[in-house]
Amino acid sequence: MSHQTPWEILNVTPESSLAEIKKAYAKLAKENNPEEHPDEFRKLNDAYKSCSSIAKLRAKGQTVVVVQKDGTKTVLASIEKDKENEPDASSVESSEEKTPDFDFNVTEDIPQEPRAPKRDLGEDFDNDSVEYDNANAFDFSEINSEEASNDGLDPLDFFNKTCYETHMAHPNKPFSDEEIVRIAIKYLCYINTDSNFSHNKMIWEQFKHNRLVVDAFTLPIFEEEVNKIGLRYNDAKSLCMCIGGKSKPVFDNKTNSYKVDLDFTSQYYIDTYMSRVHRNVKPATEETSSEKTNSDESTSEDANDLKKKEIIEENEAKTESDTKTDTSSDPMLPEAYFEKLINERNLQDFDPKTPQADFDYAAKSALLIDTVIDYFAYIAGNDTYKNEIFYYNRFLDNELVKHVRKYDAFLGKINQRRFDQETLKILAEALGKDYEAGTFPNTPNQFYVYRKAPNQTEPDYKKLSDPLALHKEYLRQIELAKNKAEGSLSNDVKFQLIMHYLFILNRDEIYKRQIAWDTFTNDPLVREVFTFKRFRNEIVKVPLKGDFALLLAKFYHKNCDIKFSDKTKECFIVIPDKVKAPTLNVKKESKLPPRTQLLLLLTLLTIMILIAYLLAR
Amino acid sequence: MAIIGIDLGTTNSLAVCWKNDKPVLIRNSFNETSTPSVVGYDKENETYVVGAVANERLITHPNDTISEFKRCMGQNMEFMLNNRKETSVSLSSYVLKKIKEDAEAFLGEEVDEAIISVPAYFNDKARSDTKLAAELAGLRVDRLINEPSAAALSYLYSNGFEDQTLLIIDFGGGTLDVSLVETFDNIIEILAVAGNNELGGKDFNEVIAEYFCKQSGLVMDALRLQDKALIYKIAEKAKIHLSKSMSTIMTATIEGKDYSVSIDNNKLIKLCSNIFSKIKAPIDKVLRDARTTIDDIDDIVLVGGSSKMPTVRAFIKEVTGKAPNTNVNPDTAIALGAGIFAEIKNRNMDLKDIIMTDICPFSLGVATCDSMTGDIITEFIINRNSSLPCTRQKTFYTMSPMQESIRIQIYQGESIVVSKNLCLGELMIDLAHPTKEKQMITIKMSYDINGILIVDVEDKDGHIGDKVFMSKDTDLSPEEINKMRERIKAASILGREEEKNALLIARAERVFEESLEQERQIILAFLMQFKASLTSNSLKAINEAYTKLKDLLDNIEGRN
Repeated sequence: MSHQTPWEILNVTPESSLAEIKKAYAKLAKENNPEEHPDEFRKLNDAYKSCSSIAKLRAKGQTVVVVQKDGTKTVLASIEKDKENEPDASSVESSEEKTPDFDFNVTEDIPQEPRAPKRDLGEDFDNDSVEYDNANAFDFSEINSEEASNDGLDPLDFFNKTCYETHMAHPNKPFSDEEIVRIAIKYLCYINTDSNFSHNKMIWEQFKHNRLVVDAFTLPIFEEEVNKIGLRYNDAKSLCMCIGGKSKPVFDNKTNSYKVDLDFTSQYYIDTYMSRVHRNVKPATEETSSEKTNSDESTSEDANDLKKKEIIEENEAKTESDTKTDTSSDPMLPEAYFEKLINERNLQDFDPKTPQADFDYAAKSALLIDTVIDYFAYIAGNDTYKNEIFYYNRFLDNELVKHVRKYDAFLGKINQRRFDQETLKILAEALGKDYEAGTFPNTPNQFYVYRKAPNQTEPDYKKLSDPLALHKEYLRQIELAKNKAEGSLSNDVKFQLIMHYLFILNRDEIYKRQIAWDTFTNDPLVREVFTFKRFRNEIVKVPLKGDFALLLAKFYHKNCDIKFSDKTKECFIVIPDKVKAPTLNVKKESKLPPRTQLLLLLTLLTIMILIAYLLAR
Repeated sequence: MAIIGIDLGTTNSLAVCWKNDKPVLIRNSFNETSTPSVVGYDKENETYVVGAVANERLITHPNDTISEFKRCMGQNMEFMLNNRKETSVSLSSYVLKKIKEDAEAFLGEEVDEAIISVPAYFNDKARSDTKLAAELAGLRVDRLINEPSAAALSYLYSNGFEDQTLLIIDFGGGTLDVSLVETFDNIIEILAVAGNNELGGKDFNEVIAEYFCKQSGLVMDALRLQDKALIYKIAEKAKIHLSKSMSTIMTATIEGKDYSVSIDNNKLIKLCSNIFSKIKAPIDKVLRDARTTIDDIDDIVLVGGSSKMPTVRAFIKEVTGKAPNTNVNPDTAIALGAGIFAEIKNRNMDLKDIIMTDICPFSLGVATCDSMTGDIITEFIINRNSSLPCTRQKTFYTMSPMQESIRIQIYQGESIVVSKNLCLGELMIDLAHPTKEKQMITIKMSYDINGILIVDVEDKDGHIGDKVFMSKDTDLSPEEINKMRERIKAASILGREEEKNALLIARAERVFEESLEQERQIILAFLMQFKASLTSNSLKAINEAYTKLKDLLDNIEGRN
C-alpha cells in the first residue's frame, strides 16, 4: 500500500476530473469509515487531498507536472472549467434572494462600492468626521481604513507610497508646497488610524524627524493649507502636540471638522523644526538651543544628529509628566516640584507606612511610586540638577522616597522609564555600593540600575560558558564557604550560592546545554534549596529567560507556570498557592541510581539469608 | 439509555435528542429550548440555581451569580460562589447536570451519554476540561464536536448534501469561529478553521454599556455591582432591539436618577469598529490556510446569537461580497448538529452513510534546539488543519556526541517561541548506545479522532520509546476530581417544580430594582403576597398569587 501513488489509492487516473476523484473518494471512504478503519481512512484522505488539489489547480487553468514513481514526468494540461464543480452563478443569486427571518431591509441597501480592501486614505479623510445621517445604509469605511493599516502597511511604508503616488502624478516636477503639506497631513492621519501606531512613541519620532514633514511644518503656507483640509479631532490634536506651545484644535461649525491654531513661536517648534530645516531657513546655529550644555564642535551633520538625540531626551522628559511646565525656562527646585506633585495628586495625607488592606491604599501606593519616579525624572531631565549627585542624595533622603525604595517595583519602574546611562550611574552611586548601573548581555544598548549579586565574596564565575567548569567553580565556592563557616553551611549561604548559580545559568544562557541543566537539577544542594520557603518566595521575583523559566517552573512543580512581562521582555515563574514545595525525602531516594538500589537490596538479602542460615544451625 | 447532543454555549446552552427519526430540541421546565449558562447560589434556600432563575438573579445578586465562564475554559481561573472556589469546569458541570435532568424529564428515560460541541479553536486543555465537566455531571462523553462542524451538519441535514463548499461563521456570545467545509456525496470534509476565542456578542454589550455611561456622564468603575449589571442588561437589550429596528433608546434608573441614551445601527458600527475589524481576520486566515478564494465559496452560513445582528450580517456581506444564507436558525443550528452527530455516533441506519472528518485546529510539535543559533524553538510535526486521524513524522538529531538521553517536550500552538505554546507533556528517553556521532531520532505523532495523541520515538535501530497523551489528562489529581464529583453530586440544585416559582421571585426582584418608587410598592405588595401563599400550601392560592404577580410583571415590562 505504501508504494501506491495517490491516484492508485483512489482508483483513478491523474487525468481524472475533480468530480471523478470526489466520487471515488466518497465510495472508498464509506467502506473505510474513520471510526472503524482509521488507518485506511487516513491514507484515503491524504490521497484525496493530493489528487483534489492537483485537479483544482488544473480546473483553474494551470498546467501541472507530475513525477511518476519510475521517474517519468507526466504533464497534465489544464482542463476546461468543470461546470459541476465551479460555483454556479445562479445558485449564489438565488441564495441572496431568499426571504430573511429578520428584518433585512437595511442590509439589502448596502452600497456595493466600497469593496476594495485597501482604500487610499487620502480621498476620504476630509469627510470622515461628518456624522452619518440616518440613511438606511451602514458605512463600514472607517473599519476598512483600519484594516488597510492592519494589512501590514507601516506608517513609513504608507508615507513612501503616498510620495510615490504623488510623484507619479507628475513625474518631472518637484512637489509643490501644497502637496508637501498634504502628504505630511496624510501621513499624520494614517498614524492616527491605528492605536498601535498612535500609541507608539517611535512612530511619532519617526514622523517628526521626517525631512518632508519638517519641510511641511516650516512652510509659510502650512497653517493655511492645513485649515483648508479640515481634520478630525484626533488628527488636529496630534498636530498641535507635534508643534507644541499654545497650539490648539478649533472646531469649525461650517465644515463640521477641526481646524488648528498653531503656535509657531514655541521653543519646542523652533528647536525641533526650524533648526533642522534645510530649505527656506539657514542651517541650525548653535545658540538656538538653550539646552546645549555639552556643546561640541562637530560638523553640521553631526550637530543635527546630536540635536536629534537631545530632542528625543527632551521629549521623554516632557512626556514623563503632563503637568510639568517648561523645564528649561523656569527651573523649580526638585523638592518643591515633588511637593507640588504630592499636592496635585492628593497624596499629602497619605501615610504609606501603615498598610491597609483596601483598594484605596493600593491605588495610592502605586500613585506614590509614580510620583517619586516623576520626582526623579524631574531631576534627571533638568540640566541644572541632572549632573549633581547632591540632588540625588536629597532625593534618596526624602522620607517618602526612603519608603518607596523598599518596594520591589521601585527599581523596575525606574528602569522602565529608560533613563540614560549617566543618570543611572549617578543614581547607582547614590544608592550605595550594593547597586550598579550597566547593561545585560541581551540588551547591550539599554542601561539598567540593579542590585549587585547578593554574595559579598564575589565568586569568580566571569564568563563561564562551559557548564562543567561552571559547576566546578560552584563546587569550589561551596568548599570555600564551608571552610569559612567551619563545617555546615547556614541556609542563608546555601540559598545565596544557589541563587547565584541560577543567575549565571540564566545570564549566560548556559541552561540551554542539557548537561548544565542536568547537573544543576541533580545537585543535592540545589534540590535542598528548592524546598526552602525563602526560595519559593524569591524565585518568583527573578526575571528569567523564557525557556529557562519554563524549565525551572516545570521542574519545581508541574502545576507551576510562567508569565511574560511585555515591558521588560523577561519571564517570571508563577507558583500557584496550592502548589507545595518539593519535599527532600523523595529527591533523596531518587539520588541513588536504580542499579545501586538493586545491588544494595541484594546485599541485604544475602546477609539476611546468611543470618537465618547461621541461626538455623 | 439515551444519547443527546449538547451545545454548551457562553450565554445559552441547548440540548437535542433523536425522536421520530429527526432531531428534536429538548425543552426545559419553562418549556423553553435554551437554558442560560448561568450558575448562582441562593443563600436563603441554600441551593444552587442554574439557568433562567440564575440569569434573572444576575442583577439582584451579582455576587452570588456567575456567567460567561466558558470564556475561561482551559484556564485555571477561579470564581467564588457560596464561599467556595469554583472553576469553569465545576460551573459547566452544574449547567450540564441541569440539562441532563431536563433531558431525562423530557425523554422519560435515563441519559448517560452526550456529544458536546466546543469552539473549533478550543485547545486540548479546554477540551479535556469540557469532557471533565460532563463526566462530573454524570454524562459520558466519548467525542466532542467542533461547533462549525455541527453547524455544517445541521445545514446540510436540512438543505441536502449537495456538492458544495461552505464558509461557516459561528459568531456566538463569547467566541468567533470560522471554518471552511466541503461537502459531496454525504461526506463532510472540514478544510480549515480559524477563530478568536475572545470575541463575541458580549463585546458589543460592553461597548454599548460604555457608550451609555459616557453619554450619561457615569463612570463605570465607580458604579455599584447591581448598577453595572443593570447597564449591561439594558445594553444587551438595546443590541437585540437594534437587530429589529434602526434605532433604540436605552433608559435606566441609577441611584434614583433617570438616564436615557439613544443609539442607532450606524452609531453601533462606529463604536464597534474595532470588533468588526477583528471579524475579518479569521475569515482571511481560513481562506489562506485552505489556499482558496472567496469566489470558490458556494454559500456562507451564519450561526450563533451574534449573527442575528443585521450589522454583523451586513459586514460579512461587505467583506465577502456574498449575502449570507438565512435558512439556518442561528440559535439552534449547533445544537441540532450535535444531536445529529450523536445519532451518527449511535450508528443510526438513516445516517449511516454520512462521514464527517474533522481537523486538528492547532499545530503539534516538539521543542528543539536550533543548531545554528542555539535557540530553543518549536519544530512542528503535525500542522494545523490536518485531517484527523493524522500521522506525521520528522527526523531530528541529538545535540551532542555521547549524549545519553533525550527529552522530548510536546507542544500545541502556532508560535515558534516554545513558551507561547501549550505544553502537553514530555518524554525522557535514555539512549542505549551513546555514539561519537550525533544520533538520528525519528519522532512520529499520531493524532486520532478522539483527541488521543501517540508519540512514537525511533532511532536507527528501531523503537526506543513512546507515550500516549490522552485528552483526558488534566492537572487535577484523581482525589481532587473525586472530591469535585462528590460536591457536584451533593449540591442541591433547585427542583423543576420549585424552579418556576423561584424564577418569578427572581424576576420580581430584578424588576423591582429596575423600577421606580410607585411601581416598587405595588411589586413589593404582590411579591409578599406570593411568598405568603407559598407557605400556605394551598395550590389554589399559590396559582392565584402567581398569575397576579406574573401579569403585573408582564405589564410593567411590556410583554403582554
